[in-house]
Amino acid sequence: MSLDARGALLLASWLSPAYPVGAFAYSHGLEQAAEAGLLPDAAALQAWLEAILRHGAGRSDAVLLAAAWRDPDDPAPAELAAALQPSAERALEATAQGEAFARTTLAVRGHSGAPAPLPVALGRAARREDLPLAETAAAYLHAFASNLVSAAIRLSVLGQTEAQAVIAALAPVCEAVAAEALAADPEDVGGACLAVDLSSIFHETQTTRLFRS
Amino acid sequence: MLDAARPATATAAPGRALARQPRAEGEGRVSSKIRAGRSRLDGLYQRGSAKCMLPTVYEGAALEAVLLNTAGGLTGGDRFDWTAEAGAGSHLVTTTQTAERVYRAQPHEGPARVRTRLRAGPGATLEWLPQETILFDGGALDRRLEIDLAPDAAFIGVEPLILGRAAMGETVREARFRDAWRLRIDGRLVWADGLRLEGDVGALAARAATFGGRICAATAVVAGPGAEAAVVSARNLLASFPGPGAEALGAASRVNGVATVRILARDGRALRRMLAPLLELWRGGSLPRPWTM
Repeated sequence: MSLDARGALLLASWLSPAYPVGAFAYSHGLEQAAEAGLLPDAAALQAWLEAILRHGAGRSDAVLLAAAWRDPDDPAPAELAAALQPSAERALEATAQGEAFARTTLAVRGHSGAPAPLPVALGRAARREDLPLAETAAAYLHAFASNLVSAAIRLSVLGQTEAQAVIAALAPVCEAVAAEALAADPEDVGGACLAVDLSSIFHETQTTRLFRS
Repeated sequence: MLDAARPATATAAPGRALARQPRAEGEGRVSSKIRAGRSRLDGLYQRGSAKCMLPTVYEGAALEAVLLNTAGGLTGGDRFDWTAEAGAGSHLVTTTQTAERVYRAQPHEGPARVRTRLRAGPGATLEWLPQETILFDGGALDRRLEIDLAPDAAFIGVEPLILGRAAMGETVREARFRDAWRLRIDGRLVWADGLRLEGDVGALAARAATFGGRICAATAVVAGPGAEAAVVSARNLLASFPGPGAEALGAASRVNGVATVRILARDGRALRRMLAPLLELWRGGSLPRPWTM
């Protein structure tokens, strides 16, 4: 399977900020990290996001997306993706976006299926449309990172042009993580981003909040 | 004492690095049952380098089991299987005799493998309170913790981790660590966790998003009827510690009805200063004796 124009447009629409999954409402703990002074500039943001992609939810999501793509009827990836959460808000971020994605994709393309966190729902939908796995996983990671960069702009961590430089720098990381995730054992998920996890937990008791996570 | 038990592994001279180390294997199983209002030993099995000791505990109605790796640490190719089961209505507390040290593995040996299965029956309480795992430079450990609870069983569990021996200026340059948790209630997976450290672990832990330059971490959970109260009590306790920039940082949340706590700390003492009161608060009593020896 290779990515043709039809597939590229399908991925572009599913991962566009216009697809109503509510991605703009989630910061993956970024809001608290910024508040705590952990993201003083664009370089700090880029390092933070690169760690999430390589050693955090990015890699785990790509591994679970791949498992869901390989066997869309297997309930295990959805169960593991929902359980593999360090906090209430991260669990909400994963499951609410997955439910919204499934609802819209059912209405638009007639896909039905059990509820699943976003990477699993996307992996299943991509398989139903015969979209290639590596490109789907890389595009998912790129949309995930872009959404967090967009959150960082709203949090005044960096400006628009700097933001695009960060996204450009993270693109090869998305590609590399997607390629590695394709070869990984679906049970070998998890990471090392404990400070990111702590940020999302501290966010739950933060008093002033723009984001739901 | 345990460092001395395996001197060749801990301080292997470079010229002898490929000398074959003896592999340690062991299997330990312990279970409890309720009789006359007290938790008693139901079954005990131990083989190889795995030992379960049952100290006399004069307070409370729980059975306490102290697990010990008599090989004095883990190296490449070691294999341990532990099973602890609290039968219906009983209360089983498991801890370890000492910190578990993960020493340098030779490249051809593969990682040490540790599998732990924990089960709690109807109305039972199971506590998994091992002391720290200390990962030394070159260490390789693949660990998996599978927890299966009856719908109304209670569980408290923790895994504290220390990277190297900071007091001696040692850093972990190259290591591999996998720590997977799978927690099921009534057969349904409700919480999972995976810690994955690989390669230059010192450089990885230095990043702001991972350990933020700290060398100690702990994950602690409470599942069952007391989970919601455990989130509230943990938040109150952890809020009493100093905030960002402090020697230890910890916070509590909930996922699928399971109370979860993450802690990052500058050193082993700072980790214990936060972790010990948290566990004591959750269990409503002091920690098992090996923790204070």
